[in-house]
Amino acid sequence: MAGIRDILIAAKTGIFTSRAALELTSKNITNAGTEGYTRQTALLTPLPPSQIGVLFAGAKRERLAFLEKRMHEELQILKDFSAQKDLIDRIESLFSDNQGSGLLNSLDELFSAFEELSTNPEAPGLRQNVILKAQSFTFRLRETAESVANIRTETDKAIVQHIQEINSMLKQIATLNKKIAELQAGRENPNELKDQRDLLIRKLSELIDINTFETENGMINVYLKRGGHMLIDRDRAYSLTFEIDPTNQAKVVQQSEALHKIKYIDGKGNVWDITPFITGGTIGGLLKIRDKVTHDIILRLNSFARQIVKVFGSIQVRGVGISHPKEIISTYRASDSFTPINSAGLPYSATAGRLSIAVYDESGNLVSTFTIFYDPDVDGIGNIASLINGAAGNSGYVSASITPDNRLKIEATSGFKFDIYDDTGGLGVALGIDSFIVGANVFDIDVEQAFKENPQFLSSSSDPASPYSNDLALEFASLKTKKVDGTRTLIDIYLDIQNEIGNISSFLNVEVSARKLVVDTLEAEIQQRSGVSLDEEFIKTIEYQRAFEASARIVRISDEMLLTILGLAGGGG
Amino acid sequence: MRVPTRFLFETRKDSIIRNQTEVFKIQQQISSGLKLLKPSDAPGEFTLAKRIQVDISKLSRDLSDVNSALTFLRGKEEALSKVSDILAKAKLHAERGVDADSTEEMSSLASAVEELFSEAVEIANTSVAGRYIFGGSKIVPTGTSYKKPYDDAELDRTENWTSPKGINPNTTLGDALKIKEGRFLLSVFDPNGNLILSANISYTDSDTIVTVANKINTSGGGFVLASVSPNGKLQLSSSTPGFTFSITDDNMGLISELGGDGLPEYHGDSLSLSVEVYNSIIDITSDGRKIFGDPTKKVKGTLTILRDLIDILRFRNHEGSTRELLRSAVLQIEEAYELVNSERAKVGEKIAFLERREDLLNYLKTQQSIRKSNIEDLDMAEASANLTLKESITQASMIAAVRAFELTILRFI
Repeated sequence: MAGIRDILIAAKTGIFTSRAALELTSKNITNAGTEGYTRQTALLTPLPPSQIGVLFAGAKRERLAFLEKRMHEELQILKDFSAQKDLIDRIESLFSDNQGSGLLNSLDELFSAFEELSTNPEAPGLRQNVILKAQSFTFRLRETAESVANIRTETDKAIVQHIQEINSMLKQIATLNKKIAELQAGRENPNELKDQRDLLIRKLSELIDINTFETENGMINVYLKRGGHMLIDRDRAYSLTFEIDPTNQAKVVQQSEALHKIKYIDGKGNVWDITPFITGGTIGGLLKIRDKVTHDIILRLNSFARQIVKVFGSIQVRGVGISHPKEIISTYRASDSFTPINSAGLPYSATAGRLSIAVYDESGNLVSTFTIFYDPDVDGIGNIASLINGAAGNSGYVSASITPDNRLKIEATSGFKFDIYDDTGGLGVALGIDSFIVGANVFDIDVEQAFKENPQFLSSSSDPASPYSNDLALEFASLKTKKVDGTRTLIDIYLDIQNEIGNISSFLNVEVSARKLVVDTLEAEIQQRSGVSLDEEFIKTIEYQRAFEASARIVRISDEMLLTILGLAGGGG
Repeated sequence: MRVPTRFLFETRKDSIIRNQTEVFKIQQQISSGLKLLKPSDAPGEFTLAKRIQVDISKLSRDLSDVNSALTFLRGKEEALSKVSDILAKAKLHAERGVDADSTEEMSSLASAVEELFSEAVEIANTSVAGRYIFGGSKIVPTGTSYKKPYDDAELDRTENWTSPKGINPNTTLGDALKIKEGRFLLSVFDPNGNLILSANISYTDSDTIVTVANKINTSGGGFVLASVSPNGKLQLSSSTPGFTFSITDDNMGLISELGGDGLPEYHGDSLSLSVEVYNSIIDITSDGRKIFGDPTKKVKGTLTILRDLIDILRFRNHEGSTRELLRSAVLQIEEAYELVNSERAKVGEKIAFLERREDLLNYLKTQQSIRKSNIEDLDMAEASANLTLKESITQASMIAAVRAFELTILRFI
């Protein structure tokens, strides 16, 4: 049977336990708003049957590991889509064409300018208008492609920054692993450190797709989900690095800043390219935008730009303007003067055909015409020059030569001018002579300088004897509805690009919303178990306070009992 | 179910932000008037709206072309109507010539036809919006060349010529005629029509009509004698009987400015300028020779017929052979009249076609605008109602959040 002393000891354990539980509750209350904090509950156990009282066995973290792992997986997907969505939103804004301000409107205005010119081909104002609209369109096209390329470059920089963040996180997690193991070995409470580690792992999984595995001593190993590369092995952190990729697709159409590969350094110092293995998290999303979406858009814009150069050029070189140049130098440089044109490194190719040159006197009267026949798979630019110089009907009016930097130069002798027309094989477009819009790719597309300086060079007539006719101006205008690749108009080609971006963006909007809902639901589940409810904690406070008061009262009662016993003892003496 | 405090706060915050985002989007839609703000709002519909926008722009351009073509064709129709009147009057004069019994009467009729001829030349040079409609594709004066469709820039072979117009002998060509540097070709022919002299004579804006006469005397090899009358008229005459001379290729139109020889030459071409209107090509200018001919090249047409009629009335007597020629002229006038009216009918058909096209284009434009509007325009009433609803929800969400935060046991202990 227990004595008064046992009752006092029991009351003491009650006081101590209540105080420890109250401390835990206070910790919960003060951390109610702390990110990553996990609610802790007091583990109270009765003392063995030989003793009276209660024991504070420790603080329990209310967290379910499997929910946290599921959260990692869902976050990797959500952040992948979110990163893509943020960037595609920026790209989409370049293609919105609202309020008549976009590329589509600019192209439409160019066609309208041509249509207007066709009604009055000799009007200088209308010719100037065509040139201005063409400049405006090519500028917008260039600007759009450059903006997409800039987004790609910024994305690459963001990837590099995130890699540095990841390395820092990996080090912190490894350090926490070590501390947690040490505390657990010393039977100390590592709960706060575990919270910090869980928070870091969650943030890591937002950036990259990982898996985790908890070891028996409380450490967590982290490795790449695809590829299985170990990022943290107990208390050791491996690191990621990045290096410029010389073969990156960014160079396909633009000599821009090279992009980076992501590398992994293993325990033996070997470096592995893990870029293809990162398919989730923010970095996974950024890589998809960088290597797929922006790349595809740039390629499609490039193809669109080259189509523009070809179709406008192929009409321009078929006719004459109302004023004629004295000298033309090709825009593009050949590798040399003798290699066939189609193999001479020029941006466009040609097919076998003929090209005619009309010679005019200073007053604009037609003096002579002559024709050369070329085969771009056989003739180099040197041959073309020879053909022009030796053509029957030339009679020295026009001479052709090759510049030191391998361009074809055609010039009229004093007192004469000339114009190229009836080019049936696209030689003018291939070399960039009298081609109206020039450029090897979307980043350098522009109106040829000669046309900016003299809009009268723009061809409106296919008949060199009647430069004021308007058949070619009409043909330029009809490009608006002409199917240039057999199935689509130029406007269709642009709208297809716009539509695809809209589809990607729309898909990402839906996915982000859906994934966010999943993450929110999961977070609700986690929070229901791990989150701190102030109301609950206050109730516990009252509960432990009352337990404390009760224990204190037992002490008092025990004291009174002792005094009573002592009083009895005193009365007997 | 446990409701952790932080979770409660976070979910309320997310809910408020989500509602505010939706309110912001509706506000954006209302301010722009558009339901579709970016391609991802509805990719298919957005692209369709843009296609329709391009169609509308093409229809607007076509309508503008129709208006422009109609202006030209109406101008052409009016010109042809005047030519028709001229030919009717000329026929009347020719018929009166057949019955004329005196040279004076013939001469008076010739003067009347000359007036009609001048009027016809003026009509042949009709321009609409500064552009000639009977010059083929050469429809405006350009560069240094003076190019009205019908311009009396040359002098046909003749023994004597006095310019109809004169200029002050002391005034330079630049001041008097605004002429710059130019040249013409003086040719001399023997009685058999063989060319015996050809000389290029140039002139500048600082020359006077007297210096031009001197240059002709110098370059004319003595075959052509040039002088200037007191009233500034240039007088040319052949020094040798039976020899004739001509002036051609006058690139700055000096001879034309002096009145020429009364025979306007066609300077246009055989092409036409056309506009494309909703898949149809409509010619708005035409080769003037089809109607007016070319008197210098003897190409038959209104001007050539009138010129011949003048010659018959002025230089023939009123005898039988003249009457036959006049009867023949009447027949030619009738043919020309038929031709002009047939051309008028064609122009009228084109006008009617374009007017129908204009109606059709306006209808299509309206329909496409409605389609576009249905796709991308915002229903303001619906949007306003949505905005009010969303604002109420946002407000309610905020109030609910505040209430939820207020409901804490703290207040009761």
